[in-house]
Amino acid sequence: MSGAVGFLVFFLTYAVVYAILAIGLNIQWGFTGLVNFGVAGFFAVGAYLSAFMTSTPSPYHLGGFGLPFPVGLIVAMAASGIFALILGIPVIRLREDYLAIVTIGFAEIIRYVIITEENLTKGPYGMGVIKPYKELVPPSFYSLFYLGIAVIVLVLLYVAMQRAVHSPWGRAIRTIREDEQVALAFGKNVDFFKLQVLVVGSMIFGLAGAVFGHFFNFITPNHFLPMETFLVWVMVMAGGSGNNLGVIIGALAVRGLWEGMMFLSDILPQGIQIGAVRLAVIGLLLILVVMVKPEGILGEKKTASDIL
Amino acid sequence: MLQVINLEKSFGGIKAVNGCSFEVSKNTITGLIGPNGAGKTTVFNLISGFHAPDGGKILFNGSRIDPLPPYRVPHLRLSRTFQITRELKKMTVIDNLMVAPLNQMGESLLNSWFRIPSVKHQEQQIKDKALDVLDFLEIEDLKDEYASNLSGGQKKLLEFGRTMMTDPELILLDEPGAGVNPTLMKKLNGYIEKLQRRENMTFFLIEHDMDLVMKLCNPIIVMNEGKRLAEGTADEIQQNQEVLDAYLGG
Amino acid sequence: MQLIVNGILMGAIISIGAVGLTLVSRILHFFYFGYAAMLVYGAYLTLTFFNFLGLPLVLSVLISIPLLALLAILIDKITFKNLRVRGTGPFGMMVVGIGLELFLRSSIRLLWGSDVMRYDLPIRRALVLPFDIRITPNQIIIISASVVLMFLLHIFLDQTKIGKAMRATADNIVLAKVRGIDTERVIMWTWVIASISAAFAGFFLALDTRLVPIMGWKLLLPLFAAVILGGVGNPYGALAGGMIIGITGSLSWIYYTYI
Repeated sequence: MSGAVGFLVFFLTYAVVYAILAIGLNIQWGFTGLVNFGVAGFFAVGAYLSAFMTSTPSPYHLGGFGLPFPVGLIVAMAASGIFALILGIPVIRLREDYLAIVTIGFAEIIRYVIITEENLTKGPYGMGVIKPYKELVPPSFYSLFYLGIAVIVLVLLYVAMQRAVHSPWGRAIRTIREDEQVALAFGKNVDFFKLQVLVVGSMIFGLAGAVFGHFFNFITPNHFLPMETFLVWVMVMAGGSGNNLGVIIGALAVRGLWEGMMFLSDILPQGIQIGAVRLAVIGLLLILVVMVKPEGILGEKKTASDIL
Repeated sequence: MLQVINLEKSFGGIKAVNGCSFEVSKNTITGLIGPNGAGKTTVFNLISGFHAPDGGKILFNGSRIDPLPPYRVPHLRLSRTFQITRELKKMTVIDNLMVAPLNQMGESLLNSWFRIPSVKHQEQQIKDKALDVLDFLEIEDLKDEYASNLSGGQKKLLEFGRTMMTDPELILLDEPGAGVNPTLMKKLNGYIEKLQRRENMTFFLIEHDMDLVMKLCNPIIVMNEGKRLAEGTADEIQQNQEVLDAYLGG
Repeated sequence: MQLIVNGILMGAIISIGAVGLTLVSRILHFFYFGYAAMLVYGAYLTLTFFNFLGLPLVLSVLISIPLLALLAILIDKITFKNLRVRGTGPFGMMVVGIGLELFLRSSIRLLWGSDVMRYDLPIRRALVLPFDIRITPNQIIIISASVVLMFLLHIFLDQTKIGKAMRATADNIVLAKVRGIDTERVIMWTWVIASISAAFAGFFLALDTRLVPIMGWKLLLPLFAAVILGGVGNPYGALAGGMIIGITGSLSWIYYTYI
């Protein structure tokens, strides 16, 4: 595959991974108003767990069960869900900003554990992750093939989440976002719903992690820095919180911006660090989105439930 | 039907409810009045489970409800409105109503994926009921409006209509007349009386508008300084010296 | 024993930093991630005056404080003030704060580069104290300066008019407004105190270790932990919280090494 097309496929696959993350965060924050700044942590759990499940036996890291790819995905989701449950039960009632700090702390703890427990995760040296089904496809077409797999996952997820969100369940969580007291006054067990959303959203983050691992074929703790969480937040806030299609577009746009800025270094004067510029742009985006248009570009759909 | 026995509640150092006891009988429109700070809304919050009492108990149809969390109370067919309307701003009027009914199958995530026909069926029933309520309150043309676009009076009607969606036996109304123009108020009175007669509902309302209370409510319970001061018909209350003192003197 | 001393050192740095942060958190009513950038700016401004302009070290630190305060107040006027007027909640302000941290951190990288830097100071041998404790003269300076700062802060909060106004606002903003306290002025002074706090904490951290643009971010979570531990808005709590975090963090190495 030629260079430009190859890069496009690479970029799109990366964008699809982030679109999956964005949908997860959209369910949590866009629809329910739950603030989760620990996206990167669940992302990491998913990536590593799938890697453990699918890799060949090795003395250098945990797992190595050589299980098939779908098992990796399922275990990734299950593990993230369990972590979310453990984290969620004590913190579910915290106010937004406290929840933000706790979830960031959680994600950082996960990252530090991955770094320090080298015997389990190969720490900062990173772990290799298998290419699923590579025997079925000629090597030059493999990346396109994997992009296809990723897109299928995204589409299935999108359909499932759209169904969930445009149903009485979606209406209930939107009510929780709008006014918790009203939800309580009408019989909704708010804590239970919030916990559900936390777990489901985090399972989506785990799924994204697994898809990422098998795409990049190499994962290190540096792939799961807080910056990744902030990127997803920009995607959701700018793309349109409360609109799943919007956040997918947001994911594409922000990833495009992020990668695109690397090319800027070719035209900017010498000595300007493009990495720093990227940082500044994301920072500005976060500031602008809150100050100018917190609902994002695409608004939320008017009717809460269109199951009829 | 509703019994409040020796209820106590403090916030910080302030004792909002101080040994309050009264009863609300079935199928009445009972009023709760009293000067500002008498503890009326706190009592409502205690009954509906939003606060837990420091002492005393609350019985509804014979069983204790004071230890219940707020989301359990509606299941006993006890609904409430809020003093300041709490419409769900970014949702349509009809959605505001459709969120209210209890035990919606579709509120389970698994059901919304795997039991779509049953969910659809229940959803249709809920929608029909919501349209009935809107029709009863004569605001069916507003059904697809965002709730934030409604006028103050319309929001009050929405708030009221929402309580009807849960088929309650007892509805607590917190200042239904606040900020409502007289014409609309007359209509609201009409709705309340209709529901009391037709559906055998019981209403318990906090109100400051004396005209409204005297015309609509019987009996009227008066609270002052966290406890029950007096109780009786409109005439009895108006002639009760202690009540007059409480309002004028404080 | 050495671990406890290390803990005290780290604790001092965290404490000084946490005081400013706790006041900002309470009076401005949100968790300001951009505080990390203030810390780093304090360290780098001091670096500029000392390494590049040749000013005495203490003067360098002191000059960077008003500059930092100016920056903070300017940022406040452009962003947070707007959000306050609009009634944006603590979460919205926090997100803006995160954006600011990223933006400011990148500005540091652009202005000073990403390489590791150090203050142009001679390396001095560590003193060996009883119990086999090693401590460098710099570290002694940090700890003693911290004590002095804590004392000065206490006097400020306790004795001065604006200090009392700050405590009142931190305690109950509605009541403070009712009593006629000008909350915008209190907010300005909060940024000033925060700048002092951040400048010194950043300087101490840089003095003890080195200067990298990310150094503020790394300290941020321990700072927030100290703030929350000590009770948001309680400067004395922040001091205590900082010391606890510093010492326990250090002592936890015992577990790691022996268990």
